[in-house]
Amino acid sequence: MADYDVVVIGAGLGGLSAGALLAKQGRRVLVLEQSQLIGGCCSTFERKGYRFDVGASIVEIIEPMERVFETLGTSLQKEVDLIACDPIMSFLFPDGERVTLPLSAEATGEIISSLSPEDGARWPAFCAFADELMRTTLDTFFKMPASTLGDMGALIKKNPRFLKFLPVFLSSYQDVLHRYFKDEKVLKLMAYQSLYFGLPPNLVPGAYAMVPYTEHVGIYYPRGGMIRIPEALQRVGGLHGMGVRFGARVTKVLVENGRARGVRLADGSEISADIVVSDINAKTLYLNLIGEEHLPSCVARGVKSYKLSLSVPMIYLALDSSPELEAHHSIIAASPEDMNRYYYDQLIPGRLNDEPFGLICWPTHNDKSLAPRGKHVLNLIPQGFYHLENTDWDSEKPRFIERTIESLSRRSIPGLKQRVVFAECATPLDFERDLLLPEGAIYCLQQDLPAQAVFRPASKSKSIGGLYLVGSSTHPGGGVPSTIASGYITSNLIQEYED
Amino acid sequence: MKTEGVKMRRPLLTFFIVALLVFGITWWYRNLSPRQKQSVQNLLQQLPDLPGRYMV
Repeated sequence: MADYDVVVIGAGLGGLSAGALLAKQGRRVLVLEQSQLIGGCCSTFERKGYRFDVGASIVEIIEPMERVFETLGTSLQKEVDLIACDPIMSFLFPDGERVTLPLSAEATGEIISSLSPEDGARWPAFCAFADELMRTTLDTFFKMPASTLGDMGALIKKNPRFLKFLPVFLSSYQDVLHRYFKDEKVLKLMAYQSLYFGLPPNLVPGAYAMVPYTEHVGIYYPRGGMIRIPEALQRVGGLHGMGVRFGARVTKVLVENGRARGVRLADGSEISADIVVSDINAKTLYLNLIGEEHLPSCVARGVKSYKLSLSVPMIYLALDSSPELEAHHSIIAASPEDMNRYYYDQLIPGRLNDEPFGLICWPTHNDKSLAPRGKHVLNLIPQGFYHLENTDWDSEKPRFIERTIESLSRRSIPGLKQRVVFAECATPLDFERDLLLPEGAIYCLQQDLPAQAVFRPASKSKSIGGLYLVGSSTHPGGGVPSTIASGYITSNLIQEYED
Repeated sequence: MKTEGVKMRRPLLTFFIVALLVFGITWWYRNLSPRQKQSVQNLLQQLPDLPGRYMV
């Protein structure tokens, strides 16, 4: 008899949700985490009384999370104190103007109308399109596997409206935006969200253009920090018998006769299991932990062909007073063309710009418990690749922090520099070292069309028996709701195929 | 005689359809914006990888 029914590699959101759901099914589950912290990129750490989120900064599209907690016999609202964010986003324009969007889609429509009456008139049609798309994908893509043509057929059978949106999946984020909006300033309110998927607007599949609308359905922040979500999964999973072992780095997946039989840890010990669930980068899993000797050559070629996703050099700021901002999220406004140019001309060649684009996250706007009384935390989330032109992140880190704060103080947040108590930064290199993300790739693999659905690593491995995947590497992709949904999908697959 | 005529016309028709397709695709591609061209190039570059990815 094996030591465990299921061993899960990695205590990220996908690993914990799959682990908890599998424990609820009555399986003996052990989650192995190499670090001392759960949640992976959705986590929180403390420095000198200030709490900073590692990566993920909010949750939206909470239905997949609600489904997981309901299946676990509880509710999301009972387990996590979610604060609704309103306003949802503030856009900082280079000329100093600011546009702040409220939660209400109707009120947002009025703001858009004030910028461009024509685009304002099209906003309700965009909302209707995005709402139908969101409901269709929640009913299919976030619930069911999409690894084979048969799976795709089942998705369409479950909800034939999925077919209606096929052309949208095949077009780009930018194309969809241009279909509805013409005004440059209005487009600047909707372009940045493409980088939530790690790509510029011309490469992100068109279906994700629903995000500028879905944010108006609700954006939430868990009181106490993003780690409250994985903590809740760990707590509820624990009630069903799921165990989590920290400091346990897996170095090998043991494969016998084409089937996963357990794992070997860095200390040399082995844990046998009937099923192995992986919540790590699929390239690391297949090429390092399993090894090409166990893979058909076409599979090895396929795995190698995936491009790693973008990373983020996160800057964590402790402030002695409130920054001059209006919302939980602020964004340096940029048009789709600005975003594309930034991606191709700056990010890909590894050039560090003096005026980086990026997301500015102000969690203490909604949750004062994250900092000492009267103090604040601010997370700067510019985009970046692992490789830099003529330098590396360890050498650049101090200059990068200084230049980014300087630039934001000058252009967008007056007085920011004077308010900084201390600053820390996690570069792509740090993410690689601390979270074992190859090249710091926060979404694991690139999320463009040729790496989606049937072309993304399958939730149920097609080449190794008893091996299942969760997390950003597999369907439905990166992001908080997607990775939690992957745990739900995979736990259902295990119930279907392994009982 | 009639069958031979049809046989002669068939390659001509195939050539015409292929030429029309090539012309149409070229015309469509030339009218794309530089960024749209980058999207198409991104897809084309990854086309040979798709069979392998489907197997993963």
